[in-house]
Amino acid sequence: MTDSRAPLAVRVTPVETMGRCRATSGFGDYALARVVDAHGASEWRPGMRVLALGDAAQAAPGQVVSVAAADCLPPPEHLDDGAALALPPLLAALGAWQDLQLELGEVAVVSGDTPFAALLALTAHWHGALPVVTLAAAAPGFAGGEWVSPHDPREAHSRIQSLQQDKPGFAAIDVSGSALVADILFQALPRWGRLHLGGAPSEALTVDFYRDVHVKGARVFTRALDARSVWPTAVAAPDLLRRAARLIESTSRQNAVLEALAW
Amino acid sequence: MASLEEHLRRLYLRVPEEKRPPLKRAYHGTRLRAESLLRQRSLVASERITFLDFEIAFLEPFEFLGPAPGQVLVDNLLTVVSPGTERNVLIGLPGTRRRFPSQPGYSGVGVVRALGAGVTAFRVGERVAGGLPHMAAVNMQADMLTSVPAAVSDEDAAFIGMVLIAQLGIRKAAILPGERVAVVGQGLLGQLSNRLARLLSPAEIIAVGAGRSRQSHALAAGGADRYVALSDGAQALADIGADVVIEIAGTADSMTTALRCAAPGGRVIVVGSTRSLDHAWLELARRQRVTIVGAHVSLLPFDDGTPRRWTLAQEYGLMMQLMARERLKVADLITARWEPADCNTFYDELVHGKGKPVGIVFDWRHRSRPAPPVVPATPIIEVSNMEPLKIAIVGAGAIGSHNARSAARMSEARIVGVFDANPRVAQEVASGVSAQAYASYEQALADPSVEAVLLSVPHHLHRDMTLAAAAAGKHVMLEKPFANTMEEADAIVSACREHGVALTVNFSFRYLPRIRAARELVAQGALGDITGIELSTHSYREFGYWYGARSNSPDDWRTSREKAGAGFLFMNLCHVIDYVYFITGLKAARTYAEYATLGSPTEVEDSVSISCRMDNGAIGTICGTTIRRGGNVAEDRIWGTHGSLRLDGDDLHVYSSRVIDGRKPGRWHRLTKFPTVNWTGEWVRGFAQAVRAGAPPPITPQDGWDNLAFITTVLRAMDEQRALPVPRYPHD
Repeated sequence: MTDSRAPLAVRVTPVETMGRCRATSGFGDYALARVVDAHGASEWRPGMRVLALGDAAQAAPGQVVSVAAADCLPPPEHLDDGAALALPPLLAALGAWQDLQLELGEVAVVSGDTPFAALLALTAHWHGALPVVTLAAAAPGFAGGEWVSPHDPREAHSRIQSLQQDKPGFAAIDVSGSALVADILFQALPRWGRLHLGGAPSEALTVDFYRDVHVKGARVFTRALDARSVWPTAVAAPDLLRRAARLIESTSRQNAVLEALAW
Repeated sequence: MASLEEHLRRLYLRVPEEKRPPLKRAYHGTRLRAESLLRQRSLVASERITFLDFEIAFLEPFEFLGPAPGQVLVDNLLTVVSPGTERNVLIGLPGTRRRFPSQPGYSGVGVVRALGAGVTAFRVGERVAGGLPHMAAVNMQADMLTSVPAAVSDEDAAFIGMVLIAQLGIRKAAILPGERVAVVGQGLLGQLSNRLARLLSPAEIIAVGAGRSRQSHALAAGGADRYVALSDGAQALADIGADVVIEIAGTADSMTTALRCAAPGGRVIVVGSTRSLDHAWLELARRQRVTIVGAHVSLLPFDDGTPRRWTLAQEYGLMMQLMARERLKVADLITARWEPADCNTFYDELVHGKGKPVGIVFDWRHRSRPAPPVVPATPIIEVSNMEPLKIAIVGAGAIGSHNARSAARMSEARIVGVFDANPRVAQEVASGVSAQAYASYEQALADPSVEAVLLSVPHHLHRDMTLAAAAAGKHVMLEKPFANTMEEADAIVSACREHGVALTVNFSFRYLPRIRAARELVAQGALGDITGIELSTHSYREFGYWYGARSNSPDDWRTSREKAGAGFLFMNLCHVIDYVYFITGLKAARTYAEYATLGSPTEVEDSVSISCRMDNGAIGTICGTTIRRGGNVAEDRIWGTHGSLRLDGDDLHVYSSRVIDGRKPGRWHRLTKFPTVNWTGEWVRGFAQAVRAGAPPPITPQDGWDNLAFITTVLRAMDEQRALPVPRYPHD
């Protein structure tokens, strides 16, 4: 087994439409590259495609850089470059809902107005959530759900509560990093609600842990939902990668993912 | 001191059993009305589908009190059949209740008619859906119902109970997007599982079915992606490699099938009510490291505070939301729509596997009264202003004189003369019917006014006298049996054909109303396919009978094998054989018999026991004797796949699993008080009308020939000590 810190020499692939995933702002940069020299590591071979973090994410197309093996994720061979580039945000989204154990019929709330938030909303829909609520200042990229603006926090809280009706389950993901939005979510959390704070915090967040976590029996996840968090998850959970690859094989689903990411 | 109820019960038990049902109904009706007054609740008249017994369903009226506190009175619009469960109950599979009567059904949509005290969740006139049974109106606990949004059709909402079962399986499966899902079993629940699984964005849904009859439904929009049939082989199943398998077939080997479809480490969700053991499953499950999860609907809580435990109301609400947003569509799964009044026919088809319906609904919205039964009319040859057929009676003994008197009462016949070897007897009978007495048979045949002869003479004379009549251009009415031998019978048929005269034989018991009623019942399907016949006819004939003591013209010809041909078989049993043929439409194809003369002064048999195979495969037993003391016994039993009938004495009894003439199935009905009929006269009328119309007579030469063929084969089978095939009529 290769030492995960061992370097691989990779050449960044020029991909016309995706570039370095600049559209997934806040998600973190990565690139599609091909292995040039595996330095004797048996599971890597020259010519093999990899999704790469680190210096590869900043390199110019065609440039050869050195990347740690741990920062390389081989996409399934049968996926084309466009589909392969969509894998990391898709993996992050699927993994997040899986952590939250979102199930059919539950309310899913996504806060944030980035394309990655739109992808989270789309994947919530794929999990059978009903309704899917986007809490964002601007109209969401995912059109199949409900939109709540955080402009008036009290109104937003009331609206989210009414959308919950008497559903037994509530799961929310925040990728905005906004304290205002997080506050709305904590207040809207019902008993046994689940919340994932996945965005990079832009300001200090004050939480009434007694009222909004302890008494409610809430479950809160805090792993950052960005590119860097995906790689170890994908390696540790091959099932997640396999499912994501199967989903992205479908033309209609691939198109939906690309549309959500605004690529 | 005994209570009023105890007194009533003791009185009730003294009443003969057949008179109890109306008393029981009256008691329960009175009691219900008393309760209605006491509890100040209305009385509701309704109808319900009831399983009366194995394989028997019936729509029966019933009454009940209006809704109690917490209840809702619902008028059903549509109820959906659970084909697997309801069929299993009807055929009594292991694990089913096996107790009747029972009321089936647990999925439907209706309208609120009334609310019990304390019910605030609904309003009168609102549509509701839930676990509604197959009834026109029913009280339901309010928490077993959910409102139906306006955007949801009756047809979609009616499936609520069935969707719930499938939904629970899908929820327990915890399908993740991108997983591969297999659904084993493509009946209604399997089809619903396909569509519910689709909501969770699996990478692929593979429908697995026994055959391909439901493939098109499975692959319809919103359903599965591909279809695998069991006939595709074990490797095809193994290649599926599903992360999640929903087992919803509930057959004996469906668990094994489900395990074969699973990928290593996969999950199998048990939704089908598999009631059989399958010993191969454990090794398979262990090898595949499969997790098995149960998902019975009884696990749903009504009110539960545990996190993420969906209650019944919440699942119902979710279903309605999905349907209202058109994310779940099921109405296209309806492949059959039945009126509740036809439930007996429907369940009969379901039990016997006719057709492969997917979604079946009972439509309670437009219930019509069942049409009055159409009793097929007995064919009558209409002849207007008919000239009576002029008949010469030949043979004026006991039977001949009876025939003469019976024929003379019919306007379609006129007796023009009588001949008997005993001139005194001929004159007596002739006087009685205002006809002349002939001095000889030749004289009768020479009389131009005679159109037909009715021969009631010893059997050995049938052939020669028929040939002479045919040569003289006279139609022939023969007393049974047709002849003594098949050669004689062939000669009789050929002669009449050659000379263009009509020929019939006196099997006039067919005209008895109860015999005709039995035939109509069989024709209406009361017995289904005939599978068995048991005829039993026993009497005691004193010695004198054989010497003609019961006749006006005593003669010992009946004791002679040469003259009579046979004894009990020709004298009596041939009538029974003929009318059983008439009732069933069947004829014997093979037979073996034992016969003997055990107590009569004759050369011919007085005791017989016959086994036979009918031409449709049914098995018959015929047993009779003329030397049994202690009273006559005449009982004919015929049974089939759906019922039985019994003829004894003057009555007809019928039991059917089908609704015949509106009668409640699953119980014996006694048909009695048949009108008195001049059956011999009807025979004569039928023949006369046929002659005038130039049509074949109702009782044809083939009827006589076939009857004789069976009896002579019976005799030969005994003589040769082996089963013999019964010859087929060769004169077509």
